[in-house]
This record gives sequence, C-alpha cells and structure tokens, in this order.
Amino acid sequence: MNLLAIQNLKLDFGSGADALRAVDGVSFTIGAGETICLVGESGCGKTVTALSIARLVPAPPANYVGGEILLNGRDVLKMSNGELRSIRGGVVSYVFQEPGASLNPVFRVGNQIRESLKLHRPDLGAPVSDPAGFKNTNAPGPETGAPSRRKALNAEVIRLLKLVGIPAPESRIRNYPFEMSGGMQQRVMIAMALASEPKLLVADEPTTALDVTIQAQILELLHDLKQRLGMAILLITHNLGIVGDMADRVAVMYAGQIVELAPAKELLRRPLHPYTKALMNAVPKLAGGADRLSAIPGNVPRIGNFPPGCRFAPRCPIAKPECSDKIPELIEVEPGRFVRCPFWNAP
Amino acid sequence: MAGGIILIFLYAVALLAGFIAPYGYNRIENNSFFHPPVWPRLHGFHLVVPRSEELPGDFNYREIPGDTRPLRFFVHGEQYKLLGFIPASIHLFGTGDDNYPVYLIGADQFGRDVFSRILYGSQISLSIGIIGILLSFTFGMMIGGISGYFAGTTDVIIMRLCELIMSIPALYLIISLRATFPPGMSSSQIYAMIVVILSFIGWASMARVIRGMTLSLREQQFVLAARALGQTHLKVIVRHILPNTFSYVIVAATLSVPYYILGEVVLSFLGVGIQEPQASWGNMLTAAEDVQYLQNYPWLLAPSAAIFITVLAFNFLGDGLRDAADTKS
Repeated sequence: MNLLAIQNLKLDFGSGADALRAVDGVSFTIGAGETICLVGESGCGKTVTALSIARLVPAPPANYVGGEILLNGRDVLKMSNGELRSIRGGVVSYVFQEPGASLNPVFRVGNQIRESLKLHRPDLGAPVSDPAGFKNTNAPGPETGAPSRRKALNAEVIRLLKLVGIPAPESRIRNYPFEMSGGMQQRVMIAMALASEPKLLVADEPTTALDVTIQAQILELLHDLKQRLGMAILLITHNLGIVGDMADRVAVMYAGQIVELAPAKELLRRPLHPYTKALMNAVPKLAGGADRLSAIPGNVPRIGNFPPGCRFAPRCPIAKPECSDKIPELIEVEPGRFVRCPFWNAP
Repeated sequence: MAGGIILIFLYAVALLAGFIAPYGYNRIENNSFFHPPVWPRLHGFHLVVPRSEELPGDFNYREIPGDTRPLRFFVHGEQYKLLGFIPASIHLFGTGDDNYPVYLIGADQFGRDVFSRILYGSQISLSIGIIGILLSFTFGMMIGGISGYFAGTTDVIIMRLCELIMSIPALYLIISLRATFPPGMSSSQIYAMIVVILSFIGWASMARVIRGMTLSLREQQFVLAARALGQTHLKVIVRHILPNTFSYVIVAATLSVPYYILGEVVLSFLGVGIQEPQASWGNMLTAAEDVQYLQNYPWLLAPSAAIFITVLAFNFLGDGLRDAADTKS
C-alpha cells in the first residue's frame, strides 16, 4: 500500500461563482521511503497541494471540492480535527521555505523542538523504544516523574540537533532563532520536523532562501536522513538542478495540474511535455557554452483566468489550433510515465 | 528609568506600610482634629518632637516651647500585620508616647495621621492598578487573539461587542455598573468589585489592538509551522501569537496603570468605592471637597500629590519602555 495516494484532488479558493480553482485534478502517490519532487513555476499550485496533505490550507477561504487524500489508507479530507492534529507532525512533517520565518522569534530553539517532542512523543522519559534504528546515547533510566522527563526531553533535543549536524548543540539549544544563520535555522526546522519521527517529510522549497553551499548541505542532510530514518520525502522545488540528486520520481505541475509524471532520471534525460522541455532549456548548462538561456515566453496564467483547452497552449512552441479545444488527458505513454499532451511524440 | 525607581520605592513602601506608618489607618485621636504637620527637629544630637496644645476655637494648635520628646526609631506601637500576615508591633519611627504624636503631614478631621493613611491607602490604590491591568489585559489578549486568529464571523461579533463597550462613556459605565452591585458589601468585596468594573471597561481597547496584531501574525510562517506540528488552535494563539505581542503589551500596560489608579480614585471620591474608615487615596480626597477645609488645612490634599507622583512615574516608565522596545530608533 502506498503511504500517500492523492486521487483527483480539486481545491477552490472561495465558493460559488467566485470560486478560483487552485488545484485541479491532481493525482499522485508516494510509497514508503520514496522521494518525490514536485516541480513547477511559482503560482502553479505546488504548495497548496503539499499543504493539503495535512489539510493545512485554511478553509475558508479554501474549499476542498473533490478527490481524496489517502494517508496510510485513511482519507485526510474526512478526518476530524483531533485526528488531523495527530497526523500533523505525527505522520507528516513540514519544512518550509523561509527558516527564519518558520521559527517563532520569541522562543529559544530548544524550547521549540521540545514542544514538538511533547506533542508527539509522550513515551519520552519512559523506557525508550528505538524504532529508527539508531542508538540514543543519552537513554534515560526507567524511572518516571517530572525531572527525568525533562532530562529525557533535553537529551532528545540535543540528539536531534546532533542528527541534523548542528555543532555544540548543548549550547545551541539556548539560542534564539535570530542568533543563528539561515542554514542553522533550517537545520533546526528539520530537527523539529524529525522530532515526531514522521513517515513523510514535506519540504517546501527548503533551500530557496539559502545560499548555494548551504543548499547543498541541507539537501545532503535530507538525503542522508532519508536513508537513515527510512522516511518518504515530498520535495517541492523550482530548481530542476536538485531533482536529479534527490528524487526517485518527479511530478511537473502547471496551472494547478500535473502535466508530466515520470521517474526522475528518465524525465531529465528525455522530457516529454513541451512545458518540461522548456523548463529544462531554461536551466543553464555548464557544457553548453555561451548560448543564451531560453526563457519561456509569457507568465503562468492567473487562477480563474485559464485559457480554454490546454493551459500551456498560449506559451507552447508546438501548440496546434485544436489544443485550445479541450484539456488533454494525462496519458500513460510508457510504464510509469504520464504526460498531459497528445503531441508528446512530436519532434 | 527614574519612573521605574520611583515605582519600586512606592511599591516597597506600600508593602511595608504597617512598619513605616507610625499609626494605624484607623487610629482616631480625639484631641488632634485637623492637627497641623509636626516635624521632628534637631536638638543637640537628637531628633525631637514638640508637643502642641489645642487652643480654644477653630482647631488651632500652639506649640509648647521646650516640651519635647526624642524621636526614636524601631519603637513599639500598635499591632499590625507585616505583609498582611506576620503579626508585628515595631514601627520605623515614633515617640512611643501618645501625647507627643508625629504627624508628618498633619491629621485629618478625625484626628487620624494623614501620612499613615496615605501609606495604607497606597496598598489599595497601587495594587488596584496592577491587578486591574493583569485581569483586563489577560482577558483582552485572549479575546483579541481569538478574534484575530479565527477572523470571519467570530471577529465581527467580538469586535462589535468591543465597540459597544468602548462607545459608552467610561464614567457613566463605571457608575451604572456600580449600581448593579448590592450595597453593604465588605471592604474586600468592594475592592474586588472595583477591579472587576475597571477591567470590564479596559479590556475592549486592548482586544482591538491585539486583534489587529494577530491578524498580521497569523499569516506568519511560524504559525503555519506550529499548526503543521499538530498544535491546537488555542495553543497556537497562546504560545505562538500572543508572546509576539508582548513588547507592545508591556508598554501599553504600563501606560494604562494610571487609568486604573485614577478610576479607583474617582469611584472612591464619589463615595461608591473604598469606604471609610478604610483608607484609599480617592476617599481621603473626599475630605478635600470642602473649600473651607482646603483653605485652613491644605495638608488634606496630600493624597493628590501621591497620585500625581505615581501617575507621572508610570508614564515615565511607559515612555522609557516604549523607547526601549522600539527597535527602529
């Protein structure tokens, strides 16, 4: 069974005649331990799709109009508030784009991680189970009571900070977020997300706000953690460069729809949808010499103002008149490869 | 920060009122109605207190030359409870002889020491400000936080309620609320009632500001991050949103304490607050209503000086805190 199966998810902002469809019929699955990349330009529905997994898009104004999100086989859209709270952080954890903004500026980072532990690890302070398979060096004794629980929490916070590669965590837990660099803050965010030992880590552009060397470190950390903890990762990015390193499969989104879904290596080697091709051409290549980068003309159409038929048609280099007639289906052209373009085979 | 130092001093004095005050707030002396201030003076190496005799007529007093008693420190006097629960009878200063009273700022129309009554009154007047602020700001922050966080219909209903309360002139509201409480309450009941009334009026404006700040804070990513961790709405509000408003709240609280102190003064002055013989700065000023009293016995106005100093100190402290919290300058 898949860890996550999103089926034909439709999400509107607003309702009735003013409804704007931000996510239109998105379907994909994530298996346990798999890394999926969600790629696309700004404003194409990546983040909203990702937040929907734990129903975090505020409703209203959002309105889930159709589809289902099966997490461990249970539909998130039908869950009660209590169940939602237990899966948030418990099964799905999030890491957001701006590490500085994701940490509460008025609390020490140790306290923020501890809060996450208190919510999802009531076992701490009791004899410790070790499901992730790495040894807790500061394992507390079996005695219970408030002091030992605090000690256990502290030890766990320090262990998590070590896990995400923060040097001298014993002193770092007393830092406020503003006393840390962006890379450190993002590591703290990841530590918070890992505190609850989630099955799925959703990383929403985790490296966009960081400089390139730190980006590489954070991605390497995520990759490493995935191997050690065996969790699945949904990585949202508009950087195709990191897709090849990280992803098992890639979903390319455009204007609220998935236009191509394929194993990462094949997609990078041979993109099929014209939009994916255009995206790839917009990435500078080291070997390419001094050619001008080719930009995609125009902008992503605004929600509520989609063109009829294929939404990419107005910007598509191979568009034909019939493209504007109806929205093409997502067709499986090869096993595991889906494309939303009838002319994918065109030269 | 001079304001802060003055306030620390005032609150320390209020806490130790029983020890510092030479007399109890309720000690009536029949032959010293409207006794003028008596200051100890230096005589040789001792501070001495002169004795006055009452002249016939309109409460006139004349000092008896040469008839003095040395002022002594840590004298035994009336029983009182230090900090409200430790029984004690040592006073900071006094003569130990009732015929040689020390009235630093005179005596009132019942022969009670005004200085002692100001000290005892400060216990009520100063604590009402703090407790009132705690109550109304806690309430205002919770309501404002809920209103801003949930927005929509909740917000509309709560904000209209706030506007309703704010649109009624405060003084009328105070007096009409007072009328809803039964007469013949004990002094501690009256004290609680004043706090409740003043807080009931104060929370609305606080709630409005907090609601505005919450509206912007709820869009911050750390709120989303907290929710993504599975925090309940209430915890997100209390643990994540409200602490981010503290720098404003502390300044606003400091600047609003004077309104609570003045509110108590107004209620007591109008005779619906703290009742005699209990001392509060407001009801002590009731005696100063009479123009004749003011002309002849101006020391009855002393509580107003205490109010003035306190209010000014709070404003200075608030201004100082505001400058300190303003990171832009």
